[in-house]
Amino acid sequence: MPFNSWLFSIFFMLTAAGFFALKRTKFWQAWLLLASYVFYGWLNPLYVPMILWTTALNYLAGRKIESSPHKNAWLTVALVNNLLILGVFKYAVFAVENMNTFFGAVGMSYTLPVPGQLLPIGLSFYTFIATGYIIDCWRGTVPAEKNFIRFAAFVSFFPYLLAGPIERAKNMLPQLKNAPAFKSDQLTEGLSLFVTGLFKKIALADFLALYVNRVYGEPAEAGGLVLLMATYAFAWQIYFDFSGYTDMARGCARMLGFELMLNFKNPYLAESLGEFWGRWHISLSSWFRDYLYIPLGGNRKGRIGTYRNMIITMLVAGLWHGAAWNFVIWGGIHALGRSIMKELENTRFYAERIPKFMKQMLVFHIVCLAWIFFRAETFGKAIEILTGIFTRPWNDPAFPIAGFIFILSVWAYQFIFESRLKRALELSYMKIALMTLMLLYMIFFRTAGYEIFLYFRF
Amino acid sequence: MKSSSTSASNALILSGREWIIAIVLTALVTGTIYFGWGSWERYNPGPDHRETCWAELQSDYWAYMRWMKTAKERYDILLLGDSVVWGQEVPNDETISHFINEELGSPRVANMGNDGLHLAGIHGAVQHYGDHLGDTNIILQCSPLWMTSPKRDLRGEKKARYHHPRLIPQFDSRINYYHDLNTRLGYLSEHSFRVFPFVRHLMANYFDNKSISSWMMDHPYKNPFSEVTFQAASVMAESQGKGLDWATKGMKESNEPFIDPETSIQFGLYLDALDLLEKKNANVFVMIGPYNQYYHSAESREKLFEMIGKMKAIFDKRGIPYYDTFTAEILSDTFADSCHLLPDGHKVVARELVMDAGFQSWLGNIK
Repeated sequence: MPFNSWLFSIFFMLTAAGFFALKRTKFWQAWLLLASYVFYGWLNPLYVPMILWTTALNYLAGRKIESSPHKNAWLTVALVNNLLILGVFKYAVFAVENMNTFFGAVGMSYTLPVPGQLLPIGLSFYTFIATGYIIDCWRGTVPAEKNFIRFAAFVSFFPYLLAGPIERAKNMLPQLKNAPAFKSDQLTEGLSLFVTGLFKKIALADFLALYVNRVYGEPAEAGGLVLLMATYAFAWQIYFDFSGYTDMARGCARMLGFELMLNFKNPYLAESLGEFWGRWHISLSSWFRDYLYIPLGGNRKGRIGTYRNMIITMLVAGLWHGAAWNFVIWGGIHALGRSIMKELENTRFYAERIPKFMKQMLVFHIVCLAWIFFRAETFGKAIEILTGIFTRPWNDPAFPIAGFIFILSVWAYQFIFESRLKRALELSYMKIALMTLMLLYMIFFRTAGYEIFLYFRF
Repeated sequence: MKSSSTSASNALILSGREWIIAIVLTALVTGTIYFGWGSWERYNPGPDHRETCWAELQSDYWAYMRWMKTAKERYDILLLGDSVVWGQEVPNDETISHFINEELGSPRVANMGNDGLHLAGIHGAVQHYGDHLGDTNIILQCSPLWMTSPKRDLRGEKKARYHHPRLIPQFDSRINYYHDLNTRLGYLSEHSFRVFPFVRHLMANYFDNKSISSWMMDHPYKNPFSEVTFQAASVMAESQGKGLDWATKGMKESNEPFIDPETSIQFGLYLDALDLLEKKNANVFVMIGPYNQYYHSAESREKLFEMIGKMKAIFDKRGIPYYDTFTAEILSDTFADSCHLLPDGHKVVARELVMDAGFQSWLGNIK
């Protein structure tokens, strides 16, 4: 039930109607939970017992951590459970395939049977939500939630269940304590976020996907410039796709009166890779910062220790995105890039003499380099694309002018948004004109059919 | 006041007042284009016109509706049916409607054939796009083709593609849909928001049956607005077949179960379409067939005529006038396949229909 579907529109209207009807009763949290389970179970009813298990165990562990003297044991139980579920369902195929490759390499004829693809949509997201909660309980920064329904609604809240933002207990649990008061502003803000997200998805991401899919599907056929353009296009496609999804998620939650965290903040305007990760998938990068990078020692372990921690964090973040070496390499490029850039930033020449725009371009191109490994179907194809950009003839890329216009317009919009000219974008007639153009574009130019949200696969 | 994370977002955040203005502006622009298009786009159907509703997946119901409106203004009678009426095997001046007009001595009948318009599709067309069918005279084809088997009756055991998926009821537990629920909800919304069928008209007419964004991808340096020439697609004069009869094509005899009209989904919806037309004060005459009986084994043919007999009994009971084309002497070699006729077949059907006493009586009542 993706957000850009008619089915979701009906689901959301029914959910919102029930929610507002029950808001003054004690059943509103149960209603949200039921709606979330219907939303999730619609994809596959077997997903519901899985999320219920994770929810129940983490709820129990949270309570025990608070009340029992065996805090560490309960933390271990919850973490092992969460990581084991993630490991079995997400990484079993990857692990078995790699073991079989290893057996073959050392001359063993034995091979392990490869399990089928098991990954339930959203597993990585809700497992991280539950894991973040349990660590917060153990640290004592968040009190254990006593109400199971409320806790279950927090873990499974449908706007962020499938693809984030990866919410934190300290932000969401208080919001789920008392029913939010209805304000008309919430409705219009939520609607604005939702429609902006819808436009990003169906008008921009799905449009660019037509080009990217064609080129990345058959990279052997493409020239150097075509491969480069497809890589640029993918960088924007994944941004529009994922930030569009997040906008829609935040819009849905906002219409119901809830406030989800910001997940994207004009990432391609970043001047360093560190800044990029402060702007891209903020809920994930801050999760890794708080629950992996800092516990590893963060930047308190000297220069080498800091780089080691950064590299570990980025490699794990890569693996979080998918059980494939491509994602590990993607994380590795970011880790290496961040390390090199950090050294560069320490030089006076780079810090003071290199113009801001050049820095932005450098960051964008490092990110694009990593995207090649992220998007390519195999490692071999990623290498083919990368070498192809430099070795194949740069013939006509046949990239639509409309695509250029979209990307440049969005880039200009974001540039203005972060400049002193931002007030121009807040002028009433400007907002009305832009929204009207977006609505008209979606009515008349929409792509037939739709692409599944890219981050559903993680 | 914007919430903290919303203000940090680069999304366009509109107030209630701004939303109202944006929606009104969008509605105004959309409405102007939608309602103005009929007069902006040059559309002047000539004699024996037939609409170019060909590709199943891009059925241009907006154009079909416009043709209904124009045909109602120009002709006394609309002949509504599938590709047999449209004339798949013949050019547009050798269709059933053309020969009926020859028999009548003046152009009184319009060809409202639409490829693959099965009985359930007729119901959908009348229900969702039949705005201009009120107070009209309609010859409504009823082809047994759509009741030959459970699959044709939309309830085959396996999911199978069928024509005009937008026109069938989207929530009938008996139908084996091949589209998912979300797609079917989309179809329903198209019927309510007419701008979507209109956009499909633009796609079909100017953008190679693709969405405009897909078209831009295929024509990266072209301006999509320059493609809109305000000229409706011309009549498809040429035939779609090779003019060969079914035996020459090497088609083998068929053995079909045929569905009881009492339980048939297709026939049930056809009867509902008749009810809808009656409510619209339309004056309807049913044409059963034509259909190739020679193509069937003796056992299958027996089932066919048993089914036709039951259909006729139902029409009799409801007082609906009809003509049974199986009573006409349509020779085997005038059929191109299981149902489509060659020109000589069309001539026979037209002649016999016009000579039929029931039809003459119905015709006589037309003002």
